[in-house]
Amino acid sequence: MAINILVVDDAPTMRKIIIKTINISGDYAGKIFEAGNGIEALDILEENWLDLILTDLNMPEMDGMELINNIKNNPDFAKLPIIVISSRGRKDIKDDEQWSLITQYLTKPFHPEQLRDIIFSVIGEEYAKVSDDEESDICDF
Amino acid sequence: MQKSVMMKNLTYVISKVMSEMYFIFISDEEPYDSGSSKDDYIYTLILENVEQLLLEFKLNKRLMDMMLLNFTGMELDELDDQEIINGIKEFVNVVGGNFINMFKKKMDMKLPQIIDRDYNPEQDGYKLVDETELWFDNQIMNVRILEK
Repeated sequence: MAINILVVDDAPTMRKIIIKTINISGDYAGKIFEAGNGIEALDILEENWLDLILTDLNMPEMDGMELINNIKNNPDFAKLPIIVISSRGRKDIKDDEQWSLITQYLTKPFHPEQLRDIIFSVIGEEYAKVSDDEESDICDF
Repeated sequence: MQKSVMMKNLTYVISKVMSEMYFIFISDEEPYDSGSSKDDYIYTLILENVEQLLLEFKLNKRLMDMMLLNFTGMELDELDDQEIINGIKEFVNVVGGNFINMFKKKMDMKLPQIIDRDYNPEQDGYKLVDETELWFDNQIMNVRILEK
């Protein structure tokens, strides 16, 4: 079953890289949405069914933590898995309560394989059956 | 973090990000072609706690093109100049984030900015802490750390 993914990052090139990694790492992605900040992300969330969110933290208008707080405070979206992809260290997450809102954390710079593995760890093993051909695409990226 | 090690740590972070994200490595060979100053772009990033640090990165267009081509895997004609110029903000963002992780105290990081070539942070009260020149594939990146 395909999953719908939202990629939130104020850098268009980073969004492109993340989406490219998602597309070449398997056939699990249905629709992939993009947003440049937390406000755009919330608009997309209101209008579309999403199964996974990947978000940066340091963004204009509404940063990643505020976005995550907004999502988790809404009972309709509270169970949505969220992967944070950020150059900020883990110590930037203030406390255990904030940590509990994040499903997984990936630090930039990252290798595409790391992003792929973290996504699979969140969406489940049934999506992680990568063919040999797809594996070589990841290595060539 | 002591001022004496700031540039050493920043250089380490820049080298790491350039090699892991952009597949470009620091060179020991002095570039023979550094490009003209009119092709230079200057990016700044402010980090603050009690004091304020300003990181300044000066790159020429040729280095920026190389970085974005390697990062995206796209051809030069698939990327327009504005995408490239904006794309380097992500480099500054990732360097800044990794750099502040090395501080014992929590530092806030602003969003990267592109500044006018004629602007000098010293006119706004910043004082130079350290500066260096890094060589990548025959191109130069000038880096300065200033504080207020």
